[in-house]
Amino acid sequence: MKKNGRTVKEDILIIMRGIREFNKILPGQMLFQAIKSVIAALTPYIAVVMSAMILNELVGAQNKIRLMTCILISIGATLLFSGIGCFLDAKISVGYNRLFSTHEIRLTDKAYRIPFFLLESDSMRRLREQVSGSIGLTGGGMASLYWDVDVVVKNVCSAFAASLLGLNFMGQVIAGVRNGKIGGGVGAAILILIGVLIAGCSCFTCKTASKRFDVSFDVFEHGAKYKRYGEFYTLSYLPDEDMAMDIRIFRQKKLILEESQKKCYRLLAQGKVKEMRAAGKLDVSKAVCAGLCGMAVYGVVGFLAIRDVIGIGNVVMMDSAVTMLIAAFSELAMIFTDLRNNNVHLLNYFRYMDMEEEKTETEKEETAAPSPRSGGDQPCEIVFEKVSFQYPGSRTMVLQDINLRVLPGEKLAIVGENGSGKTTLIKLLCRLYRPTSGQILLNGVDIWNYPYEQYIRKIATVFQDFSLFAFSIAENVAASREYDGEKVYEALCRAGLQKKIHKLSKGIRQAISHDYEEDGMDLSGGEAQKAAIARAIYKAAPVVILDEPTAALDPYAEKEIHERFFENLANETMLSISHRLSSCRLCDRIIVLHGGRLVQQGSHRELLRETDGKYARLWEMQAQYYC
Amino acid sequence: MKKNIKSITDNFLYLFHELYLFRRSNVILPFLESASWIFLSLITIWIPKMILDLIENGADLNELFLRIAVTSAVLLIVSAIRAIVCNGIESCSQVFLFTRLKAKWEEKMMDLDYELFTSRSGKISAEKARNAISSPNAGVVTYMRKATDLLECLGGFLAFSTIISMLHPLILILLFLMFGIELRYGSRSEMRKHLLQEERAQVNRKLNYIAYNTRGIREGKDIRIYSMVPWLRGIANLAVTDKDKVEERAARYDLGKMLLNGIFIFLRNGCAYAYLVCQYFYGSMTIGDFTLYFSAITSLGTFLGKLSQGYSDFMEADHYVTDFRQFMNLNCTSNCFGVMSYDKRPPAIFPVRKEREKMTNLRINSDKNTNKPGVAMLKKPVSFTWEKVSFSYWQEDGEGRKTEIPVLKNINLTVKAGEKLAIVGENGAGKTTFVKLLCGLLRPQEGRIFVNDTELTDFEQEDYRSLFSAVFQKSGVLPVSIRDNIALNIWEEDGPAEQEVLKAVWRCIRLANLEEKVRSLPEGLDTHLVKRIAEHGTELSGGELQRLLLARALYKDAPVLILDEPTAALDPIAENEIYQAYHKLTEGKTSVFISHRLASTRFCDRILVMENGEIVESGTHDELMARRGRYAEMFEVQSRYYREQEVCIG
Repeated sequence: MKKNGRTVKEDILIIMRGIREFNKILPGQMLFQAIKSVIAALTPYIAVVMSAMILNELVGAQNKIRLMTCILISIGATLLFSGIGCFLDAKISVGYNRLFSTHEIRLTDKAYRIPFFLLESDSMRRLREQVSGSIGLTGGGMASLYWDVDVVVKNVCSAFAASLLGLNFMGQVIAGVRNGKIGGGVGAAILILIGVLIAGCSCFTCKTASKRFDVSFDVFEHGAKYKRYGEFYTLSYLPDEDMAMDIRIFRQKKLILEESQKKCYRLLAQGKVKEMRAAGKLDVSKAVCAGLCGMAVYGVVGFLAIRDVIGIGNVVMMDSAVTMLIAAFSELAMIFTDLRNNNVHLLNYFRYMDMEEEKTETEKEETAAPSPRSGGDQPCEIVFEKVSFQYPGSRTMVLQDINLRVLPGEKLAIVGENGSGKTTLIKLLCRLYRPTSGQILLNGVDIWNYPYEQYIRKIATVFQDFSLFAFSIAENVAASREYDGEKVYEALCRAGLQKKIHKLSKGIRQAISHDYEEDGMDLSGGEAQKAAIARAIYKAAPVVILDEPTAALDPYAEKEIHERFFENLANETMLSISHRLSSCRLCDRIIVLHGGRLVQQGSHRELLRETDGKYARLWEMQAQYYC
Repeated sequence: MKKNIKSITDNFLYLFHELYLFRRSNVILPFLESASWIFLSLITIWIPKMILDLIENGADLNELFLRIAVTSAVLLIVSAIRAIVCNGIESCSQVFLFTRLKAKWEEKMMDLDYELFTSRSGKISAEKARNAISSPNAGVVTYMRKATDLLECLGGFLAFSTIISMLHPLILILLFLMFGIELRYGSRSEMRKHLLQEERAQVNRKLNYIAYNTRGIREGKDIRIYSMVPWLRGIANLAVTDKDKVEERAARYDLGKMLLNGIFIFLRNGCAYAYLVCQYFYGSMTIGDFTLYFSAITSLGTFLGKLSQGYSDFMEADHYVTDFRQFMNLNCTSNCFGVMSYDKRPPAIFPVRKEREKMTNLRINSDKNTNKPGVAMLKKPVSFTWEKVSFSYWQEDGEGRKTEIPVLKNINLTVKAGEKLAIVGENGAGKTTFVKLLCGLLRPQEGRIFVNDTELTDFEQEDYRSLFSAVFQKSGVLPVSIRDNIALNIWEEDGPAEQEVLKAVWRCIRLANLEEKVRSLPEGLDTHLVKRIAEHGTELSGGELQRLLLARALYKDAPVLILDEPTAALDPIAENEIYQAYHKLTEGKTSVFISHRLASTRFCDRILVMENGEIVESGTHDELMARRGRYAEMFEVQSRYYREQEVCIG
């Protein structure tokens, strides 16, 4: 029996793995849920069985002690079960309430560990959107597994209990035949009828349920795509203060309203309508099924009671037993379809979680890492040997045949027009990408041959689009929970944030922005850049890479930062990208990239002498206004 | 309590009114649903009684079958109807959420006064409202469902009370007593849970921050270079522990309530059995009655339990509606500048009308659009005057204390029509705030702003804003086609024809020096931007993005053009091209250019130097250089390296 291209066995294996994975997200929760389900399944049977005994006692012997015992057992057991259920519920609700966020954090945690080229790839992002969309939109994937386990356990237990009662019922019918109260044919017919009802109802609901789940499955297959648009607007674009200016000045309202409806909400609504229509069909057929079953079962039980095959007290019990048995089987059949559909989401989840990870050091070495100075003070030499690069899936060469030797302690400037490959060069050096051909050597060893942690300790980068996080400024600078307060302060001062820090009520422990801590402080563009620079200073790595570190700064700050860098980093090897050529003058050497090739290199003066060269032209453009 | 009831009725009326506007017929669904449900619960407890009575009385088989067939058929039909109605409610709620509530929220976000939008209270309100409509399974969307449930419980409660009061009124009183205690306890625990709501929102915000703000590409680079994983994980673990603590407390409040409920069920069923058994022994009831009444008592108990649960669920949904409604009601009258949010002053409609008359008198062939001050000015460069303008931000800390942070102090300024103004100054000197005030996003707290002698307060907001076009420092693009990103106005009803739009778009792209790039794209103008959102989208580099934003600003073709650091991401050649074209770009416009690169200010008629929120110098490049003040100093710092070289070469 194949569904969605998988056999039952394959599906079960996937579910088993899903349960194991779930235990990593919310340890122990699945077990609590299962125990809770057993209790929830058995509770109604107490009342059913005991009330039947009470009724039988009433119409029969009327033994008061037995009657009392029955009543006490009935209400006592119910109380006990509900008490246990309450405690389990309390446990479960805690886990349930953080299922979604823990799931998302787990996805994010994975994003920390995959190689950068994967992080940047669209397919990874789409996959993650699908995984996160399936749980966020309709509670699919891991969440579905959680609910479904509940339903499965509950109905298996219920079916088991109901079957016991059913056996009892069968026994009574057979006894009735033996006693001659009903004919053998009639007895057989009754049993067959009940059997057919159970089988028929399960098959029927299984089939309609399958249709219903297929529809909703189809809906949330595409949901992630729609959700992306919706979330872009509701979570990032509309609440953003800077975008709010655009919206108001450029009157983007109509366009955005139309877009979000067209690309997200209207489609989601249509999906929901489709889903609800299918659900409606299922619910109606379930109602009809239950009605017909009820009719038949009552008829049979009533007939047997009139013929005195079963006691009057057992009428309600037998009816309940058979109805519950049918219900349990139908539910199981239904949930099976849902679980099998849900496997698509689980497979996505596995696919995401199974992505390769960057090889980091063993635990032992990692614990040795934190001391920031341990990167080694000796300056490093960097050599590019015939390095070429093209982005995965792209045909254009971003860098071609770059040969370059950066001496230990040398200050190198990289200039070139937008799109000439400067930032890519930096990315290669940061081991975010692997060169397509050629190699980069650090102190004579291919950078990819270093253990990851060891290599990354040697470089500090201030990216053009650096990011700070909404935690304390000290932790941001140290990029760690533990930090050396004095060293952090020193780094901040050296980056020129001394005045700002003195103004803060909590000093370096103040959080950045209000996104995480309510009493955080806002940093202006320039201040943020200085904080990012402080982070690089704190790291005290032998290689410092700067990608347009002063683009957002005013002339004073720009000058200050430049001079500080040269003051502070006398021994370090430094590579910097800048559009402001004035800053290049301080460097020992300048290389000029154009169209992915290294076209010129030399000191500022040497390069200016080549009057028809690229550098002279760039220089002229900027310098003309200052003279 | 009274206020509470008013708020509940207001919410009810608000939401059902919205629902009525959305889909008229669906308003009756909740009533239909609860009626059918009550009928069903009555008939289900009645059927066993009927059968048991028939058996006890030794009825004939045919009669038994007939009765069963008829009642079951009724049951079947009603439950089928109920299934349909139920789905109708769910489906309606969902569609209502997606196509109506979400759109209303988005619209409000975009209409909201900018100052209120950026204020702490505005942000909190917006976030609460967003939270109220964010999930398809919780929040405002459940209101209709919860209202139905409450209605069901009330109806069931009435029906079963009637049955039980026929048995003995005392039982009813006893049941009510239990219910009363349960409700009291329940509402107390609900209240405590509600107090947790703030804390819960806070921990959720933290978790969301970690989950969603650290998974991007931009963050990924720094996370890798600075080995931030242990740090971020540590913070995530702390946040999860905090979350668990809050949830454990909430669970504890619930636990007491549920245990009490269990004990009451125990007592109730015990009493019911005791009483009914006695009654049966005294012979005053049949075995059928016994089952019926017992079911009725348990059912009423369930109903009462559901009633208190239904009430608290309903109240929860109601709180969400309150959050939503409060956001929707935020400064709904601020179309005019005269009205501050929460201000008691009447809207300044009258001056506008006066102005309008003046305008129509002045302009002979004015069409219907030109009688508002803003629209009349659209065609020509405008002048503006600031008189003693001051502005401060109010910073609120966690405890709600406010501190005033003055940003602009007592600014007097006159800019002639068509003048090219440059503003320079250190980071944090107040340049960006100046821009926000200028284009009407913020209102001055003191002083007056005039445009062509018309005061700011006499404009309608939209009209005032239509006078300005800008490239802001941190503008972004939308995941729509390049054409739509530039020509946002194609969505306006009486916008220009498509052909004209395209022509204008190309002209602006050419002016912004982006033509080559757009031509190189296979889909040209129809290429979608923002790759992470739009499938097959393209990502523009920093420089290209800045050029696109420039093209967009040019397309708006407003009388005032503001450029806030438009060349920060451009290479020298591209930067130079923009400078060279500056006169062409700002032809026939009043323009304001903000830049750190003092070279650019050379093209401007006048340069303002800002420091600590004040204008400290003003004049042309040569004048300011001659003064040897702040400007000259800054210029010196920046140009030193360039000039030394000149000397060298010379």
